Amino acid sequence: MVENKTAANGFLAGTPWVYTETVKEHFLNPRNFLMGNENEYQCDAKGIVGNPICGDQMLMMIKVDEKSKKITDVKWKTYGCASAIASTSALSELAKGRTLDEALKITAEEIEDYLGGLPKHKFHCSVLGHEALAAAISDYKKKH
Amino acid sequence: MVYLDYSATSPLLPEAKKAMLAAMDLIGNASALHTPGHFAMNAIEDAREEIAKLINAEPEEILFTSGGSESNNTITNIFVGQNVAVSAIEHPSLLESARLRCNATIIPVNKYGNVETLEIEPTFSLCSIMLANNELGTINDIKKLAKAAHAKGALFHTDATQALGKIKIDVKDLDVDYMTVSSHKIGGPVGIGALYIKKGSPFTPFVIGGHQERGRRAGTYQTVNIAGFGAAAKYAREHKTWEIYEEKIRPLRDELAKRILTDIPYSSKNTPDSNSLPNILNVSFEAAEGESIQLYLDAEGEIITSTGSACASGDGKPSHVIMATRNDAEIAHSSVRFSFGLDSTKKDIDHVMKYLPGIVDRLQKISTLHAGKIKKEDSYYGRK
Repeated sequence: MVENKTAANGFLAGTPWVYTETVKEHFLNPRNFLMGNENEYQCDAKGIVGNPICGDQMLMMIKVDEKSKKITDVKWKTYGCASAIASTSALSELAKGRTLDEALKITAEEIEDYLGGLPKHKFHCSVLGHEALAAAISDYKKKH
Repeated sequence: MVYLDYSATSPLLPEAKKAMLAAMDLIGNASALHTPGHFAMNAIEDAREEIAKLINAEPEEILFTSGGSESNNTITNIFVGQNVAVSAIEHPSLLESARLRCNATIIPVNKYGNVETLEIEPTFSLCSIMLANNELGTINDIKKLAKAAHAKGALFHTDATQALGKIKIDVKDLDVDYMTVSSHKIGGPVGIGALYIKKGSPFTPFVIGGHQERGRRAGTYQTVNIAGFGAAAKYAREHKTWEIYEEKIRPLRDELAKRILTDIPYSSKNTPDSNSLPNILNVSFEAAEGESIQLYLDAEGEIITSTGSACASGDGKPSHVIMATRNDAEIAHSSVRFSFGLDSTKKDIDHVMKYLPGIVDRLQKISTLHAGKIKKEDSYYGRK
């Protein structure tokens, strides 16, 4: 064990992590993710984007109320980094309760604002969940 | 905090800090001919002697640089426009600068990270192969490779940044012409390193415009950092740190490897069992992304590690080292490096094993990828 003298010396004060507290909170307690087999979750539509060769992939599954076209439930899975996990967690919260068209209007910037910012080189990671949601909505529209 | 990122940088040794504090009171420019200048130069020459002793070189064969990256850049700058052969797993400071400045041929490595045979044409001026790799810990047989290069008339450089202090190094025995070393991997300060240049080897200064270092590197002497590096080198030599690493740290590393491969499904070792540094363990966890593992270890267990994942590298590319050894981007993105220091204990390993299995399990369960593609019969990869 190494004593954390850095914290004691105050070098870390205020910025203990490269990510904001909200990002960290969503990373540690992600909302709406699906553990285990995705085939056991009865969704109305799904979208998968990204490529594991590039280091990230995202699957988004949605349930939709047929009459109101509102998203009633969202579940996601990912092979991705902390930014991808936190931003998709945030997106899943933002999307729930919105109509499909409203959900499509959620921007990457809105997710970033919700999380209180992301490091610049991590911006593309947050786009992944966003693209997966758009793919799921497109899948739903094709089916209905 | 359980710090297992010593290969990235090591905490400053108290001995190095003490020497640096003393050197901070030396006010003279070491190049000056006045008395304070002489005092500063004495501190520098004492340190040079310590670096030389540690690798069995002569003091005049040691050139101070700003670190390993500058030492490696200095090497490729000597051989501008010439045919050079470099291994696929060199540090980017060597690999990228060789590609930029020289006519570089990449020497492939086997799945352990070893250059098995060296076949070069007599037209090659230089061959550069790491003594030990920074990501995997793999040790190459430099004595054999240098001999093979010399037989073809090429000079030989080895990057010993990670090996210094971890294994015994003797430049005369290895018979290399150039060697890169760095201070902060052995408990000295960051920002200082050295290049061993065997007497009589060709040399061109990389930083020009000053007479310092006998005209071999311009720039005012960094007396404080040099004194710190010297003290760290002295510590390594006097304590024979390579023996402590061998006796105390290698068993710890091997125990962590065994427990990971036994307790964590779909884990596999990137570091070879033999011919590796005693303090580096690189492991991949199928379907679990490396940056996430690294950050969960940090956030939940205050366990500090590194990863070969693209998301951590900043350039969006997976580790070129694991791509060269295992040629699998998913394995590279899912890799974590644990690197031990002299202070590491059994408690540290217990602490890692308290958090790591749960983190990997959770990431594998939320993953879009399905673990299990590594062949079971390939026992080296240790799949459960």
